[in-house]
Amino acid sequence: MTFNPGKYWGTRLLSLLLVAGVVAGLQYGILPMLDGYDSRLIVLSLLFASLAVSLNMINGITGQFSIGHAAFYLIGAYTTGRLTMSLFPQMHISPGIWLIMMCIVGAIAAGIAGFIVGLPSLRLRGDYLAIVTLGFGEIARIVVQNQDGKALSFWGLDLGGAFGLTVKPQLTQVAHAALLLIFTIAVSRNLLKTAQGLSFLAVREDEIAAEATGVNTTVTKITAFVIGAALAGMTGALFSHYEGFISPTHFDMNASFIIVAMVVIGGTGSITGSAVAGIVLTLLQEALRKVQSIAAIDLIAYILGAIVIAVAVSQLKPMVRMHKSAGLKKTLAGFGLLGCVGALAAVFFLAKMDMATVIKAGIITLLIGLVLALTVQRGRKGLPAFGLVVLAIIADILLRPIFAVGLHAVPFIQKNLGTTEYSPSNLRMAIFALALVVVMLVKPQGMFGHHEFSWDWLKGLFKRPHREEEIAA
Amino acid sequence: MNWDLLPQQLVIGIQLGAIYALIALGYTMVYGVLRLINFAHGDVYMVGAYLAYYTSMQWFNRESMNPYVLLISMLVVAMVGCALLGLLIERFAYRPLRGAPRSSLLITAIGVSLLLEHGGLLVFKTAPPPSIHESVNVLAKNSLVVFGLRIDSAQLAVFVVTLILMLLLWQFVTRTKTGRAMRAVSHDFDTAALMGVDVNRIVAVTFVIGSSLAAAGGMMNATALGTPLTTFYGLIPGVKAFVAAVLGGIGNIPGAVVGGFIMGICEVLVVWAGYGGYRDAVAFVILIGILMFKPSGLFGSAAEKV
Amino acid sequence: MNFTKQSSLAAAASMAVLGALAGCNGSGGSGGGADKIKVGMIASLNGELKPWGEDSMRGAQLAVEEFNAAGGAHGQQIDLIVEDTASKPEQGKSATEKLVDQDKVVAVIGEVASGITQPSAQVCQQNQVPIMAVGATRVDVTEIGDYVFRACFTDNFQGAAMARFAYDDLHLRKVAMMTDKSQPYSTGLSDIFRKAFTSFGGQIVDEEFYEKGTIDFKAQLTNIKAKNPDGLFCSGYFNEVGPIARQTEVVGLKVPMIGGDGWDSKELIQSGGTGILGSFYSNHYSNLEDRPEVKKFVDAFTKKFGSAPATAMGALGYDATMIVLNAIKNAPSADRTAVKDAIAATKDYKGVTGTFGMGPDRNAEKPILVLKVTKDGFVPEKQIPFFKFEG
Repeated sequence: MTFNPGKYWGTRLLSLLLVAGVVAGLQYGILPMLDGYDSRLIVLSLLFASLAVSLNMINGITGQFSIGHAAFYLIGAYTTGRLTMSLFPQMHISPGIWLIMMCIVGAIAAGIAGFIVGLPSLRLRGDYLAIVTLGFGEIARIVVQNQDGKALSFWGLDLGGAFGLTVKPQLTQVAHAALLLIFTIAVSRNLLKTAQGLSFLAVREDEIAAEATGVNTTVTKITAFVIGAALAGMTGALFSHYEGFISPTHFDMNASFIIVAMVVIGGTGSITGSAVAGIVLTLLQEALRKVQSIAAIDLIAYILGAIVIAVAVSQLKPMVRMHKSAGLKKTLAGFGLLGCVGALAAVFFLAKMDMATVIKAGIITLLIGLVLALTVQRGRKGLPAFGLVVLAIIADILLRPIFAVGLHAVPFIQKNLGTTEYSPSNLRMAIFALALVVVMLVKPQGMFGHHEFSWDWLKGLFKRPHREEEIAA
Repeated sequence: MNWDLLPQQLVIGIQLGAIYALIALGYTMVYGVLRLINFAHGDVYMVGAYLAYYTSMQWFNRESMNPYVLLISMLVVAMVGCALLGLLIERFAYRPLRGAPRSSLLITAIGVSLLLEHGGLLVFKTAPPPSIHESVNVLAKNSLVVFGLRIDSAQLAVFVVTLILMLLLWQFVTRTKTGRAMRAVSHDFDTAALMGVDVNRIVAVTFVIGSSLAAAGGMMNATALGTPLTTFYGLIPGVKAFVAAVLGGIGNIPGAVVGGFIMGICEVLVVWAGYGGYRDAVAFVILIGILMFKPSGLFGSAAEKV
Repeated sequence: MNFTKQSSLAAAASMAVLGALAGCNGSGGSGGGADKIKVGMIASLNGELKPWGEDSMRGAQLAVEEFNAAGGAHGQQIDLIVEDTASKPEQGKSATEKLVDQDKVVAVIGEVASGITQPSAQVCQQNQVPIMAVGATRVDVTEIGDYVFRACFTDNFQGAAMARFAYDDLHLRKVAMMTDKSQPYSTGLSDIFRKAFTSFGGQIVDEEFYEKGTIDFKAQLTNIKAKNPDGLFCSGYFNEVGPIARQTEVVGLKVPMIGGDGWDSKELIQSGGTGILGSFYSNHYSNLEDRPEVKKFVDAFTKKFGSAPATAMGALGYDATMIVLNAIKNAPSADRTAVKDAIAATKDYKGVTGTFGMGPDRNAEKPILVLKVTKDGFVPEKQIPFFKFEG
């Protein structure tokens, strides 16, 4: 491909304008329409997306395995939070500039930590490196936890100990979080476009071969750690000035795991994937608040139904493959479209719900089906899969009452679970965990694999997928 | 720092180490065959403790039963139940991902762990630790005094059972055909499969053994130390045992045992020096320190080829 | 590649079922309608604090039910909206934002933990919504602003009261402390106890630390034993206090133990074994008290939920909710500022956890109950009336 300066700079200029437009639109257009809760979700999802993209720099692009990313996030948050608390009131600096300064300070502090953690990566591989990063995360959290200005703290440093540190004033706005995410993505992406960037990928694919071809693996690995950590430190700086209160529990092992989960689910190495997964996973935890309570027996019935269907579908699959050309495929595709109406009707009659709920259920069903159809199998092949999904939903709706009646008939279950109801809140984290496992089983490579979002990819979705075999390979 | 207390603290550290060692064995075995950090292992340990609790407090009548029979039945129920659980987890969460990227496997393991912790809340309520007949409780809280050192008799029992289980495991791995197949799989998964080893069966056996060892650990610790049970019971011991396994060279059975003892002793020494708040952090500091000089743990084989 | 497809389809089916589950049940009973007064509650229904969070929710539900049965306020019924905090501060803040912004609640009740109440209270203060903390005993929580209240006593009072009890009633002079460094509740309570006990003339001979999830405390206890204390103050939660008590016997440390309301759980007796018997801890109330309010509450709770409240958070949740509901009733209108003023004006509320009112610093000024741990349960030992101790 020949280099076309006009197109190159044109695209860049367009991207910049787009960024400015999006951020301005978000801040002045959309934000005034939202309440505090919605804007909080936006900020949190943007910050977590930044974290995921920054970890992707280490895990995805360079292929080092770090599972203690919350440590860098913590260092950024605490360093800047403490500085703001003690210095900001005396320094007469405009809040915007102070926030940028704090971002830089957070980045430097976390970057230094990233350098220190990156050193073992020279000698350690894979899981050993993973445990070192995990350990570093725990060490950072425990050290902060002990800094309460009393017996065990170093030099009487007071970071609020286990309780936490109040950070005032809360400077971070939605636009800052959006800019940070864009900055993080831009850094990662543009780095990959340079010649040095290729060395990161080389280290990921084969370290020995990379070294043999003259890549300085030492510098590459440490650079990845420093950049990833610095970006996480910036996120931490914005987080502490958004949340107004930070405590060691914000940065525990679970936080690290969730960030890793974002990267892996998004597709290790895919910047787009990490960002999307970061947003989706953050929102998923909150969206699960809306799940309504369910009787224990119904839940078991659903699960039994799901198992039956899973078995049935796995038997159906060879049939789909055999009738490669038309036949069953078309039938299933037809099911996909007609089935939605059927599903709505079934929900309506069986559950006797009001119309609004049925419509909502229908929309959710459709959306899930579509997402699955698009992610599970690309292009036209998706429609039969979508048909299967709809079939499965109908079948489950039909099966559930049968199982429920059966379960109610068993005295032991009736006695112990007959009146038990699981409230949505009790199920929230369990569903979240289940979703993690299911997504991994469906797409072990993550949503995007190594792929990136690009306009060509989007165009390709609507084209006849003649490249199907190539993608599958 | 009271130097007179040092010998006593070392004894405590060794007893603590035995606990970590037992859990670490399961980690190390699963890692050996699958190269998977099984984060759900600590939660299997939790389920083992709960099964022991239900056995002693609800299913069996602990007032009328011979306490030793009850103890053994608690152990058996916990081990069998967790072996089944381990099988289930392996079959439905890990086996479908055979050949997938290892990071995906790790996320699945984290997912299973979260599922057992949070989903477990639906089944398991906060419960007191399992306990047995009063007369045995009297024995359990006593301690022997040898050369002026106090030894917790319940933990001495844990120590002995741990040693027995470890020796049995060692015999199994080195002397039996299945054990040899296990070592073959752990040495080279694909080649072992090509040589006619039924890899799926070996992985299943590994999970059965690892999970039942974790269950034994859960049952004995909960009974001896008296921590009330919650679904997060296995979280911290699980992480520490994992560190112990890595310390000794993950995948290496004697290494896991030695790692467990090092962990136990180091932790106790930190407390002895008066820095109890840093206890968990120091364990990691030592781990990082050792890995800097021995990148694959104390007894681990040299760094694998890429 | 084959395995991927097969499992992907199977998993797709189960995912679809999940979707159907979420979909079918979506917005089933969020109803309520405009003619109800909405009150929000945040509680840890997931995670480590679930036993306390669930109890506080049940207490609140009971209070709302009784209040509605008695006719509600301003001719309207009360609608209680409970949101989960998953025992995490940032999710607690999200939950509060949702209640305040989307559900437009008049007041928020909760949380049981100080670390989660802190960010939630910041949200409430900024949006000028009154929040009534259930179990946040940490002193600085109510210093956030004039919209932040609490229904429990503070650590300032709890620590000082226990120090007084240890010094005057148990005649202890040299006390050692065990502090859970990972629990702000524990570190805060230890600090106050140390200040109060030394100010009364006692001596703290040793303070040992641990983290939550620790199972073996013999190393700390061995250190403590070498200092020959005549009492042991454990400011942590029962999960760790039980094993500590059991292990005191193993290391041969035979001194009375004292602690705070974190001990309050029926699991304590069995996990502590004989080592915990004869110890004392402070609590908000006891199910065994024979005040009519307690009897009525325990009966109603048992009838509704099948068992008596397992922790004091049931009663505190009930009292916190009742104070808020009464304030809504007494306020000229059910708007946020009026309700805040009415809460601040609460005097002589006859609750399950004692008769109390709101002090000038928006803390409940109420007596504390010292309980003795016996084989058959926690027996009320002594009530200590409210006094002021400035840490």
